[in-house]
Amino acid sequence: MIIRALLSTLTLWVNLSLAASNEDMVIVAHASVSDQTISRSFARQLFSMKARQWPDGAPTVVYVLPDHSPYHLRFVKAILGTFPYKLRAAWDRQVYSGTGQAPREVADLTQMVRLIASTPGAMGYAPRQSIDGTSMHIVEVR
Amino acid sequence: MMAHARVCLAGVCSLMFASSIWALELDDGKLQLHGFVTQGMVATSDNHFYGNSDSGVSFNFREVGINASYRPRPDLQFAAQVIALDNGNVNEHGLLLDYALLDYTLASSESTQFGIRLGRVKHPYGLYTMTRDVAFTRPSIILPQSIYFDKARSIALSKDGIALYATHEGVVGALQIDMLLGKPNVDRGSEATFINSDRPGKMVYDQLSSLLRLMYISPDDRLRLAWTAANIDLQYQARSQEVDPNLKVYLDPRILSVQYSHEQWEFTAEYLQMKSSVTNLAPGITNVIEGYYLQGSYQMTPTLQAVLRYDASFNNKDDHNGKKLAARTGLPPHVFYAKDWMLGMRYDVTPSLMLRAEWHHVDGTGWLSSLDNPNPLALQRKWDMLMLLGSWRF
Repeated sequence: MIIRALLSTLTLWVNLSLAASNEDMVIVAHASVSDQTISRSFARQLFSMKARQWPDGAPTVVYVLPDHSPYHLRFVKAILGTFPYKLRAAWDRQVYSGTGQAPREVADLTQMVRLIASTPGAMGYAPRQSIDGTSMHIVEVR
Repeated sequence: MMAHARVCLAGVCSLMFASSIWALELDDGKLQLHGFVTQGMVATSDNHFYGNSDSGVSFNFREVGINASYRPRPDLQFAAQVIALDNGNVNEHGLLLDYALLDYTLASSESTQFGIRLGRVKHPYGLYTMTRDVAFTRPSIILPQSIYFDKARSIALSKDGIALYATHEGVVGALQIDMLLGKPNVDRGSEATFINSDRPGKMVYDQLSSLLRLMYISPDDRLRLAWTAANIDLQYQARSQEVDPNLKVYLDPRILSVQYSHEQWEFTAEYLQMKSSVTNLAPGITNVIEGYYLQGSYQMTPTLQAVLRYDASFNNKDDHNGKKLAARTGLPPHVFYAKDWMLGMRYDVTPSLMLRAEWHHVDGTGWLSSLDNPNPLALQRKWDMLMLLGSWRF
């Protein structure tokens, strides 16, 4: 109930029916994140869970789609410049050696965008066209 | 133990076929629980590996683990993992504390991370040791034995001590440095590898052991190069007169690792040289152990992967056919080397459930444990091995 109420007040709108996997994927962060641009290597460090804080010291909360999701594949290849299995290997190395944690996996883009909008420090990804709101913004990779 | 495992398995069956990896998270994801259950089968044409694999099929191949990590702040993590293993007669029995550590990030910026770990810390030894008991993270059912020998798994496994780590990302790539200092852990398999059987005494560390790994990662994340150097100094504390009480073992492994990753295929090679000095047993046994493997994997479909590997291991790098060591010890030459061709398949049923099959054709018995094969004269030089494995994780 609370989630529904929150959703209705959010000004974002995600049109999933239009969002095909070949669309332009971008990093999306909660409004509290001050960075508008980050390097590709830092983006990879963040999504591989090796870097756990934003440059201002705020904790990151990383959301990802399942490994086999076409959005995930497209994002990881085009924006991070690596492959889903490499990310998975990095998470596994950390999770099963006590040196890090896994990102939080969400079921679909709707859930991803909703959680980013409502979680300070959160980051994830979505098709560029689907981002329209004040509770989150795009972080470009230089 | 078996009955227990069956009850647990029944309980998790409904979770095994979930379409994504099920994770238990508490406190907004700050506390995470993860684990794995692996069961394998081994059949050999001759010789024993992971139990009595020659006289039938051995099911003594089980790996179970559960871990918790808690990150109350972005720069602080507590984590521990408990495992139970059954690898034939080689492993320690019962529950083992795999790691238990505190990880504190001292500095973090867009290009640099620097931190410290205290407690029982896994060794970043080569590419695969940190998670060697987690089937999902291995490239095959068993790791290449030339470098990740199961018969002495513990000597390169973990330390109770302190570790420093640093990562720096620059335009030419990333450099990762890991340094560890502490007390190495020794199990009965490793002990038996040096004194040929499990005796009442205990192998303990003689001096603090250290490890250094340098890793370079190219800017496109495709190439990884690593150099690992460690020293492990052990001594045997005899409880009777069974072995010379002054037995000491000094090991100083050096490993070069290279891995190149493409979307569909991955090529991995590692080369090991390890000077091993065993004093007060036989006159002056100082060897340079040598091992290497070349491995290629190919992702045929999103869920099906094939892997091919050639893995070679020599107890003395100047005596590849084992003849000199055989003349000195009276043992057959083939116990001093092993050359293993392996072909394997991996099928990911779901992201958290994996099945594997692999076939090994081996010339030599160098990495077979004396605990599974008490009589070296009964070993066959050329042998084949078929392995099957199922693993579930969360």
